[in-house]
Parts: sequence; C-alpha cells; structure tokens
Amino acid sequence: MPKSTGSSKECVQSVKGWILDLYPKENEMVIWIKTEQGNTIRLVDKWQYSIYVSGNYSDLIGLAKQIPVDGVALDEKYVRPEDSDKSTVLRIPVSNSREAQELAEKILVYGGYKRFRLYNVDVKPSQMYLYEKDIFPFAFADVSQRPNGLEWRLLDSQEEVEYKIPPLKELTLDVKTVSERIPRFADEIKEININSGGKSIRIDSGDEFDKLMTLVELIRQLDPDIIYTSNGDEFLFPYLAKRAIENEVSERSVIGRERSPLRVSNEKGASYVSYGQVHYRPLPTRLLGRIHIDMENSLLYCDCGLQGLIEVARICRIPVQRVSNTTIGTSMTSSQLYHAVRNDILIPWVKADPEDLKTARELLIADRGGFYHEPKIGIHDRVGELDFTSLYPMLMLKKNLSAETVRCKCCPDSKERVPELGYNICEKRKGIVPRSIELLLKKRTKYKELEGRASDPSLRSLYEKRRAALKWILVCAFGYLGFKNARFGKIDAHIATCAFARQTLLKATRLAEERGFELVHGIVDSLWLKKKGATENDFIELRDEIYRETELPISFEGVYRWIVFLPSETRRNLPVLTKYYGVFMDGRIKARGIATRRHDTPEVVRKCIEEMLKVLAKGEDSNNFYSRVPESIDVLKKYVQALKSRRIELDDLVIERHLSREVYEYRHEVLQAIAAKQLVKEEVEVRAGQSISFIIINSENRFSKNRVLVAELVDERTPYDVDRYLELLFSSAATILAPFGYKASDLKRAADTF
Amino acid sequence: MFDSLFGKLNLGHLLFLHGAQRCLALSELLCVQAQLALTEGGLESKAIFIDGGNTFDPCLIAEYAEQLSLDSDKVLENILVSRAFTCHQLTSLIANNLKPWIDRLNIKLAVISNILEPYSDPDIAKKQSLIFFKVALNSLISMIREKKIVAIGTSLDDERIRKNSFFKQIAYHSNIIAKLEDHGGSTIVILEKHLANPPDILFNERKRRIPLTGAE
Repeated sequence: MPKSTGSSKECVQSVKGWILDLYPKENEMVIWIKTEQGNTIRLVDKWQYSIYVSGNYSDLIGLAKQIPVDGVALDEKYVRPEDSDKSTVLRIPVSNSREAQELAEKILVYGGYKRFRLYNVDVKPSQMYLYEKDIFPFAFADVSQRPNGLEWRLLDSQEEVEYKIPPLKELTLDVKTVSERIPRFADEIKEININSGGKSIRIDSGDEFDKLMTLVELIRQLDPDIIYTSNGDEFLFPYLAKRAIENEVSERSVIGRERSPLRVSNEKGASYVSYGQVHYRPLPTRLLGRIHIDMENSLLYCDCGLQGLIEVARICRIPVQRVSNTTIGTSMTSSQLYHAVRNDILIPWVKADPEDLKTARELLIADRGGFYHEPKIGIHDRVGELDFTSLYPMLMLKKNLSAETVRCKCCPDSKERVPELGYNICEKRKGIVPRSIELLLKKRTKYKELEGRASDPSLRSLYEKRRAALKWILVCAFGYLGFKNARFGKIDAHIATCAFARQTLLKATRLAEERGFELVHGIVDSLWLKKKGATENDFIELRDEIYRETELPISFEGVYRWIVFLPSETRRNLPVLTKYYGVFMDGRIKARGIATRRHDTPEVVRKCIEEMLKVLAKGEDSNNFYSRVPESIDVLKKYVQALKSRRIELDDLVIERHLSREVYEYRHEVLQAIAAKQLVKEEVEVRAGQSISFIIINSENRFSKNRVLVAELVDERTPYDVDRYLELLFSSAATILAPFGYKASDLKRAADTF
Repeated sequence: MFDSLFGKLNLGHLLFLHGAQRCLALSELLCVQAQLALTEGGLESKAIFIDGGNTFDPCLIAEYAEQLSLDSDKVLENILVSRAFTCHQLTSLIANNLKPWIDRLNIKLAVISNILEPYSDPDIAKKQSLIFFKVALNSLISMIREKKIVAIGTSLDDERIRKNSFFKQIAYHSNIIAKLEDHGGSTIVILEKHLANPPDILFNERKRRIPLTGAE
C-alpha cells in the first residue's frame, strides 16, 4: 500500500502534480505534491543515502569490519572527476545528515587523518534524492507507488522555458510586539497580521496563548503553500517559538504542514566573507511542506521574485525554500553535484587537492585577472559600448574549463591550449563545470529572446526575472572556479578562464582598431570605442565581425551622446575603471561607481545626484554638456537649501552600512559601530555582516554615542546634522563634476552664497 | 645579512618568522638568496614556496633578484609555488606533496607562508583543524630532518595568535623563532628562540633594530 497522507487524506497509487517540497525523515523522503486540482498530497518514499570512503583496499576492509551499520558494502566509483577508471570504495548507508557527519569524523580519526578520504558527507539528503531520481523541484511529474518505493516519470523538462507553475496559495505573516521601541523576544505579542488572497486578518483579541493558538488554527485552515515574512528567519519565527515556550504551547506551535512545531535553535546565523565584504545570514526557519520566504534575507527573491527562485530551484535541483535562504553559490554548486552524481563521481567532503606546482615566473604570467584599458579622464563624445554576453561562463563552456580538464593528466598533447600559459585542456571528457552551465547559458539566451518578443508586460517581466536569476548563477559559476570551498573548482581553471578572456578582448580590440576605431576604455568583458563620424551601423558591423571571429555572443549596448570617466577620489590624475556616467542617444542614463549606485548613500543624496544627472543628460554633446553644468548646480542648491531649512524627511537621511566585523572588534568609533552599540544596548543581537541603518545627528559631538541614532530609535523629534549631510552632498556632487575642476570644498564655499 | 640577523641556520632546521608583513617579504628574499652559491651564503638550490595566504609576490622576487644582480627570469624559474586556500589543501601539500617535490627537484629550502592562518578558518571545527595542523607539522618536522632541508614557516599575527595552540606547537618544534615588528621606516627583529637555547623555552627578547627596506 502506498504510504501517503496529507492535506488530501486518501491513499494514492499514482498521482500527477508538481513537486512542492521535500525533506528527509528517518530513512524516508517526504515529498509534497501539488496536484492539478490544487490539492496538496504528502508522499513518502523509503530511501536512504550513503557516504563513501576511499583508501587502501585492505584499510577499507578493516574499516568495514569496524562499522556496525547494515548495508555497508564495497562499490565502484570515480573518486576524482579526472579519473579514467573507477576505484573501489566503501559505501556506508546513513540515516541523516548528523549521523553522516559524526560517522565521517570517526572514520577520519580511525584512519589517523591520512588513510581515508570521505565523500558525499555533507550533501543535503533532499538534493541527493533529486539527483538520484533525476527529478527537480516544481517539475510536473507522474509518481506511482511501487513495492520498492516511488517511481517517478517526469512530464516536464528542465530545458522548458514556458513551463507551468501550479496556482499557489500565498500568505504574508507579520507580528507586532507590545514594545513601542525595538521588539524583543521577551515582549508579549500585541497582534498578528495575516494577509491571504487580498484578505487581511488581524489576531489581536484574547491573551497571548489565544493569539498563538488562533494563528496555528488559521494557518491550518488557510493551508498556504508559501508564507512570506519580513525578517522571519532572524526574528519572527524564533520569536513565535519563544512565545510558545512562555505560554507552554511549544508542541502545538505548528506552522508547517508536517506536525513539527517551531523550535528555538541554539545555533546562530553565520557571518561570511564574499568578494571581500562581510555578510550575515541568519539561521533559516524551514516550514516543512510549505515554502517560507524571508523577503528581507533572500537576495535572489529581492532581485528576481518567486519566479526567479523557482527557476533556480528547477535548474539547480535544490528545494525552493533552500534557494531562498542560501547563497547563490550553494544553488550553483547543486547543479554541479547533480552532474557528478549522475556520472558516478563522488563529491569530496573537503577540498584537499591543491594548486599544481608552478614556477614563480609562470605565476607572474598566469595570475593577472581580466583585461582592462584605462580610460582618459573627462568627457568623450559619441562613444559606443560593446559587451560580451556571459563571457566567462561562455568561455568555460566552449573551452571546456573545469578543475579536472585544465592540465589534465590524460591529454598532455592536447591541441586545446590556454593562451599565454600553454596549459593543456582535456579532449577526452567534458568537465563538470561546463556541463553544469550549458543549460543555464542556453536558457538565459532563450529568455532574452522571449523577453524581446513578448508584448505582454507581465510576460516580459516573468522572462526578465528568470533571466536575471540565471545571470546570478552564471556570475557565480566563474567566481566559484577559484573559491576555496568549491567542490569542483581549481585555481588553474580560474586562471585559464581569465587568460582566454584577455585573449578575447585583445582580439576584439584589434578588430576594432583595424576598422579605425579607438579604444577609449575596456574592462573585463566590455569595450568603449569611438571613431570620427561612426554611425550606429558601423558599431553593429563591428559587433558582427567580432562575433564571427570569436564565436562568442556580443551585444551592442548603444552609442553615448557623451560619457564621463571619473578620477580617483584620492589621486585626481588616476582614472577609476568602474566609475563613469553617460547618456545614450535614446536618453538612457548609465552610471557606475557613483553615489546613485552605492548602497550606503542616503536618499537625499541619491535623489540630488539623479536629478543633476537628468539635467546634464539633456546635453546633446560635450559642448552642450558644459553649458548644462550651472543648471545642475542649481539642483544642488535646491537640496542644500532644503537641508539647511530642515525640510528633508528623516527617511531620506537614513544611511545603511554593513558591519565588517563584530561590534566588540571595532577599535575606532565609526558611525556604523556607534549605531550597532545602540542596538546592543537595547538587547538586540548584532552580528558581523549585518546592515545597520542610522541617521547622523551630531557628528562632532565629543561623546561618540551622541553622534548618530540607529534608525530603529528615530522618531519625529530626532534632529539631524545638517553640516554632515551637506558634506555628503558636496562630496557626491564633486565626484561627478571632478573632471571639470569642481571640488567638494569649492562647492561648500559656494554653498554659503546659496 | 641572514646570519647577522638570526645566527647560523643549519640544514635540517625550522625557522619560524612571525609578526609584521615584512616576514613575508623576508621569506621571499630568502628564496632568492637560497639560489646563491655556498660561498656567497646561499644553498645552491631551488626553493619551494607553499603559500597558505595567497600572498606570494613574484614582482618582489624580481626586484630582489635585480638588487642582487641576478637574472630575474632565472630566479623566478627557480622558485616553485603552490597555493593552498584551505587547511585541508595545506595539510595535503605538506604531508603528501612536499616530500616528492623535494626529492625530484633536489630542494634545500622550503617556505610555508602563512602556515597558521588556514587552520584558523572559522568554517572549520577547531578540533579538526588542530588535528590537521598536527598532521602537517609532524610531516614537516620529520621531512626537514630526513631530507636535511631548511624550512621557514611564516605567520602574520597579532597578540591573540601567541595564545593559540598552533603557535605553541610550531614554537616548540622551531629551531629559531623571530618576531618582526614594524616601527616607522624600520623593522625590529626580536629573536625569541635559538638553537643554542633549550628547545622548549622562549628566551628573553633580544632586539636588533635594523632598517629592512626593499631587498636589504
């Protein structure tokens, strides 16, 4: 008999529907299916996953005798992706992730940390199930109960771009505490607000016990598939769990579909470093059988919405709930793990294979990053921009660049060579990394085409979100080649990709120069070119020629009426590669590296600079641009006056900054550290990587605690430091006008006359 | 210069340099000097540089070579580099790869740069990284003795590092320990331990103020 229960209580032999969620439970996998009729069905599949051990054959036999687990057996697998032959390994079935981890550690100790290597230890069981069964979240499938477990028949394909998503019941949950100031776990619940299908429900009657029980009952009745929260991981769900304990209803605080109550975890969230910046990820709250999306902590949701999350879940084979609360790298890695599992390649627990030995001279040539050509500071007329589309992932795919293919042992005489370095590239097998990005690239191109063709704005937005989600994954795919913890990354493959990219940009530059173009600026995958009298058609012809010669997709972004390349703030004679603004012939403004693009710019400054740019954008060419500068300074005057007369809304003065370290580690009283200390004083837990919002109230105050006020404590009586905000305004305005001789100090002096 | 700073360092010894950024530069300089003839204070040997902190700077090597009137291309060719980005990679390099490389290339000098840092990775359980460090250090010590090479470990540190067990373990096994402190334009070398002293006691600081700029 099938072992299925759920919202629909009947037992089923076969069901068609979409895979909504899945998770392991004691040697079984629980899968929630959303049927075409809108029911949600819980299926259970008897399934166990295994960890693997490699080592000397006699050591493996000895180890097998020491492990009191049923089902331990020898197996044949590839222990490294570059291996030509399978090795004999020990397969050990485990019940859950914790058991896998504990057993793996014991084996390492038993082997003296030298004799054994472990595999598949920390792969999430839900993902492993998806890989093994060759299915994916939100896939439409026909699943049948068979004596040995569930049998899956996909009626869907990962390649599909016009796939259907079932109608999902969505709900937004919000909780208010009795505290007037910053909410704390010790505060009682004031009210709970639920918004479902446009209907708002407020739970504010009775005592706290009643409110909690009403919430649980309402969730059960409404039975949402998705619950959206703001800060649900960091505060809302841990808070509800603590209030449930206070009211002695902990075991009844069930929000998911499984009878698993909310728990207070002793674990903390994690601070981590990505591209030199410290980030913080709170411990996620998973609602079994539903999808919890914390809108404040899901970067991908913020950028690409639910459509983006589902697209990534489908293509990377990782449950939607996990996509929403994990890093993009984790999702991207999942698609690599899938290819490894499907090809019998084991997934190393730790990455122990180091970089190949190279001479210092080789390193000097190899480790040079991407192509760049410094721009000439100042304004340039009629510059065209050409951008290679997904250049790095495209090179990884076309050139077969992966940890196991660059400098492989099997093809020392390969014809495929890395430019400048001469490293051989495997000709016998396609690497895991290229395999995993092939479909991503294909679908991204397809979505771009569909987006261009779609006349319905909602459809266009759908394709745009899916494309944007795939772009995130692709960007990450290159970065992960050199990432220390990437399972299938290696620095040599990273170096090789950069070498091919430099070669490509150099080739494109030469082709442009042969056609009489001058390279104004170039960086990584983009070129800015100009030629006297060149028309848009000339740029398009050049683009087509570059495409023919490189066989890499390249887009023509347009011709700028003018573009301004900006200098360094500290060394005015040095250009900054990523700091510029300009206006295309069709009036679109493009800006990079200036105040409008920085996340720590207060709204008042952002609005002012945007308005100044709009004024400058009216200039048809550089001469006309110069004549617009006084008008743009009038915009600045307007904001200066508004600040001086305190007519700026407090919300527009909020500055948001990342904490790059723990609060106690700050040695200097920088503004974000002062604001963070105010939160700590209010008993709020603050961690490195979190963002802190504050208003500058008196930056010169001799007591540092009085210099800023954290946004959570701001009210209508909060004063602000006019001079400091004026400084920020002048500095940002001076940045965009720097090539024309304006300095912040000049603007400040002039402000006295405004 | 080397002998004047640290006293005589014999084959089969481990030198541990820690402290200011300059200890990384000094270890690179020693990779250049190792290529000099025995009569010129060198080891007539190529050098291996295992980089645990992604800090190796080939441009600095070229600069040192030029200052010593050596062919910079040749000097760069004679330094073999491998970078480790995790404690597992560093352990694997030291415990598994280093010995065959030393044999194959007849190496007399091995630098393990930022030797403590990968083991302090917050992503790795402390207990596990301690064991991996022990595996790496034991392999290194036995290799130094067996192969009669000079090994140099470096670590950028602050006050906290002296208290951690990685530091204590490497300090115990090192024949010479020197701490480098930056003071304005000059660097103070504090000789904390030397062969002539009991191996398990860090002796009183012996300071020598020397200007360490460029390839000096």
